[in-house]
Amino acid sequence: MSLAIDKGTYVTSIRSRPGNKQRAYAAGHEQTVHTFQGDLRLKLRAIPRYVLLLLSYSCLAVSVVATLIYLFQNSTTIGWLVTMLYPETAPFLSVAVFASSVIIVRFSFMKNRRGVLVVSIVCAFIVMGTFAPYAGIPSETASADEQMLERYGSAFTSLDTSSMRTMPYSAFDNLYGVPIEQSTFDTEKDILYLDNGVDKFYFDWYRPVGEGPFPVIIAIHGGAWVIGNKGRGNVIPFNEYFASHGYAVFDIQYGLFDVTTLPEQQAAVFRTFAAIGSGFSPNYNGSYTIQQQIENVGYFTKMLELNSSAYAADMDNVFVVGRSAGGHLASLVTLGYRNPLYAGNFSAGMTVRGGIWFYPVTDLTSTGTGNLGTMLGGTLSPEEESKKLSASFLIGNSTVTPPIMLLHGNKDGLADYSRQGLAFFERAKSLGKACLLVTIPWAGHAFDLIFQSYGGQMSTYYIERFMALELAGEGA
Amino acid sequence: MKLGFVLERPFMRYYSLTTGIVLILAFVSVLLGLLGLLPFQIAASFLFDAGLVLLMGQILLVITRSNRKDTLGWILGRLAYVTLLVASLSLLLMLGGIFVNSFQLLGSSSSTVMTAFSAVASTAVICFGVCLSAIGYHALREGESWRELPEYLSE
Repeated sequence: MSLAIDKGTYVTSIRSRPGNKQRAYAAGHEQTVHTFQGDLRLKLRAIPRYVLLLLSYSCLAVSVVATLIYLFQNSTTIGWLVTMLYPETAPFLSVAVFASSVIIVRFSFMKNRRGVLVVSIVCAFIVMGTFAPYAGIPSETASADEQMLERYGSAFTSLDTSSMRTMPYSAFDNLYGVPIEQSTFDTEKDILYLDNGVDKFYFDWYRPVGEGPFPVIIAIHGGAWVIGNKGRGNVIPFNEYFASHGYAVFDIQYGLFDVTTLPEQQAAVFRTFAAIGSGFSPNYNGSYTIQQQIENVGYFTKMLELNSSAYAADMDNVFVVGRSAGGHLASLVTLGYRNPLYAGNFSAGMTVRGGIWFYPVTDLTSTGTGNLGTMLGGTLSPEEESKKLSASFLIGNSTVTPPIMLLHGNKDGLADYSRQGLAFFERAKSLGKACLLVTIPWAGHAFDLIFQSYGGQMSTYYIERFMALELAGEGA
Repeated sequence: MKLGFVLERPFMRYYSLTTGIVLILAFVSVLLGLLGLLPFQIAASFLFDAGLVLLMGQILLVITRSNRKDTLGWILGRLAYVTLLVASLSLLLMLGGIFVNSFQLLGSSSSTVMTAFSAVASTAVICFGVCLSAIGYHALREGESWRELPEYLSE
């Protein structure tokens, strides 16, 4: 019997048996015969499909894990890292999650009703996790408004807000950016303010157009005292926004602590920071304890007082803004600048009109953060030094306590919302001090790194009102 | 509760029409909002989000019901997937622009780049969405372009 197989064809069923081609009888067989080229084409066409499926499964799996971590594990290292960016970025990724679900259903479960249901539930869970923070905005806004009304009364409602943000959150601005009029300010970068023989410290100056003097904002970057920098590390759009609204903004360096000098046990968390952020930090030759860092910040205030006319700085109207570790240092400036514990540390001529602390560390005692040991520095015993460096202690110890605005995300697992933010707020209120707490719903640490996100917008909305009212002498 | 009615032609016609109109209004509002007009910014916020949600539903409807054996149905199915891809990439582009602006990765032109990214991305997603809903609306008159309902929905 002749093999009636055309050139380039073979019987599918004997593909797995090399050498048996001659035994294949094409005619009369019930097995399907494919052309070799056709089969190859089919296989090649299947490759993109499998790649697409793999990508879709990966996208869905990563999203599920990220959502679970965000919702339930925000106090772990990976948790606060995920929580830092999840609420701001997830809405933009939700369409990709939806697309992945559609592709998975289309290519894997089109005929399987249960499979479709499972993928749909997973997709719905992720999308709900994505948009949950936005549902919390109205209630937290109402709470912040209530506090503002309590402190400022009718001055808050009758304030001229024509040049301010009109609402706490605008989805439009989230997509297209918060408008900043670039022609209303100039920027001068990398101005030297301190050379201690080991390192040089610089600041960026955002100067409003006009004669001045202008109310001052001293902006202190974060980074757990071991990483971070002025400029990109300290929310440039925030500095530009307030410079465009008539504030002279000074974004400063202050020195960092070298984590390699820490004992192994203490170094774990801080080395995570160093691994993440060393590339964004200045290469200092020296290592600076927290005590030395606040001394450097103090030196800046003295330099600014001496050169206030050159920098168009109104030293009677100073606001101190800081983020995270910078928020901690800002808290020390706010509560320590007239405190005998810090005698000689800060400018004697400046008047702090308000402290604006983003997700700060307010309690450096062992119950607050654990023992920071050699990082604290100073000449006092560790226990006394940690008290001196804690806003929660200084608020009860200082005679001069400027009004404070705390801005904290209630899913912050790094500078814990309950222990560092809420606890300080309640203590300040119990002492009768002026303190406002703006809670950013479902936000983690560094919620305003993306300035146009809901955290950045909400905080900007309240900060500009807070500063305007304090400058107007309301709430005194 | 029977949800099969969402796959019936009358509902799909109204749905396609609504999606198209919302997306067109979103486009106009975004343009006027970019000029700095606050009421249009507020309107654009709602319309863009609503349009995107409606568009996802439209894509699902088309993928579920289009008849790939018919030319128009085949085109509709492919257009739905392309629209899904464009929507995903557009939002990623927006996110990229936001990061560029937040960290000033392109210096003083960062905010301009971010606005351009967002404008291009939103225009792309709106255009594809309007096309899909318009062709879907038109194709609902064509008998061959749509498949019968899946069994478990038509029961």
